[in-house]
Amino acid sequence: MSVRRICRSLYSSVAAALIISAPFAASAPKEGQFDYRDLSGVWWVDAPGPDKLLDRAENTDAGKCQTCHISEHTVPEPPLTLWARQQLMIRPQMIQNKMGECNPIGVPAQFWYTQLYPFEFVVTPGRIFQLFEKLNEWRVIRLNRGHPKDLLPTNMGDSVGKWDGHILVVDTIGYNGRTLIEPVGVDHQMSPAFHLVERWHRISPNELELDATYYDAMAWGSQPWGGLKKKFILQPKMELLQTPCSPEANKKFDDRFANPSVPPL
Amino acid sequence: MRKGLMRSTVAAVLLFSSTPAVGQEPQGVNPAGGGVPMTSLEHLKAKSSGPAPRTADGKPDLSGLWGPDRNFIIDISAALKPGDKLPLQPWALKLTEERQSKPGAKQADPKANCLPDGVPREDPFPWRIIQTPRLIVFLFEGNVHSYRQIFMDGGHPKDLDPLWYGDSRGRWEGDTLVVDTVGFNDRTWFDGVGHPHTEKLHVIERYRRPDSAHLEFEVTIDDPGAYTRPFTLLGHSPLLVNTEIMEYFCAENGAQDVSHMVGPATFGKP
Repeated sequence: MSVRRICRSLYSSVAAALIISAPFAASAPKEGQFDYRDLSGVWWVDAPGPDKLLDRAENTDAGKCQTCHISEHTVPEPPLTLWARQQLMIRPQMIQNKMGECNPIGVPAQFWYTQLYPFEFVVTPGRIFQLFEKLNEWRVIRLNRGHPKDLLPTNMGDSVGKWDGHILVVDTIGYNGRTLIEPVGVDHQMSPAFHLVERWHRISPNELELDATYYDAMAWGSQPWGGLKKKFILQPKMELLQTPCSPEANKKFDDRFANPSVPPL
Repeated sequence: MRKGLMRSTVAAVLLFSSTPAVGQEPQGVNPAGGGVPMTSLEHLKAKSSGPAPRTADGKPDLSGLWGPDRNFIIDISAALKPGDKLPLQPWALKLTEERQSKPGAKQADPKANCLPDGVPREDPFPWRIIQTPRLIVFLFEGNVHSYRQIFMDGGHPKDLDPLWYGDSRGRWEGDTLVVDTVGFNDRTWFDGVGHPHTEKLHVIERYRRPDSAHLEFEVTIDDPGAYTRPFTLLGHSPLLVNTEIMEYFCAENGAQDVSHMVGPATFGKP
């Protein structure tokens, strides 16, 4: 067989492979009867309740909210560095300032608030938007690029996502270190080195799991803090309420849910 | 970093100046009564346009990053049709004049206190529309960096609590998105010079995308508590490219130090 024929044969094989694989590459594979890549919708922890925020607050199981005060990690926090231990001394003032002055919450702290407030994923080509009911914050997860080299540090960080089989892996860096890691349960602020990795997995038509791991070289050295696992239930009839921060709205939240051991300013 | 400084500087000049900056003059009024996009974002405007894109279900796709309309930031009377005037009731006119003359009146501006803008007030920053069949969302760089939802299914709930953005329900009339909003609280100002409204406010917005690079909108305001009749404002937004919404949080920005706002809400008017 001549060299030319071998090349033609190879080219034809490659072309055929591309043509055959193209339809599969273009469409999202289905799992069961739902599209696991479609995260659209309002999601909330497994406590669906009345639509109105005040009604939700009143009807939230009182025993459940006892757990609102502690971290939801299933493994203990890694040992703290000296820097992180120094942060502990300023915690009470820091917490009050953050909650009382309508400062940004960001992720992962917003995940803690999902005990009380739902969120919504809005999926568009190249971007997934996550709308949080708490404070009416939002963030964008970019699917069509990696982290920029000249990243400006921000409260929300820069989030990029990619699919790992059935799981959306979201990687966030570029924090300015001014937000809390979690509003309760983690007694020190995040550092600018904070790095968040989330794995979102839609395991059934109406169930979505989050598995998150924190990295912070300034706070924990080389040890990650994993084990943050949450399950959310799709709420097809729910609409996110308006909860922008205003001083009186925040005071009502603090009076109802804030850690009573933190003295007011 | 330079983009952020530029946007912050423009915002500060617009929000806090009581006299025109040297060399600055009003951006010009469109004789047709339309709005005037912000020139500070001029270099980000799309340079060419084509047919307006459509979604898979054939509707016009309003998705994109849009520039603000200056007339919805400073004084909505500049967005009226030619010859029209704001039909303020006497108490509302008196309140507006007080806000424009009293020292320190700016301190009462909800925006100065990092509260939401409401509808239809804008910020001198980009804003994004994301569109799905069930929900359309406006994402704001300014305006406390929040979002506004327009639900495309269902009508207004019966027992509405007064809200900053009201309750918005949208529908398509041909190629026009019609947004009907009720259920406002009375805590926002329509603009920087302090035009008020009440909880009776009812806003109907009509959005059209005549081509890929432009968004046109009409805002009909019906507030029998503050105005003697409905009136309509005309607005335009240019498509912005090669940029993204930046992070901006009012409470952190340091610009909203209300105790230093000793002037009235005039924005260059004598």
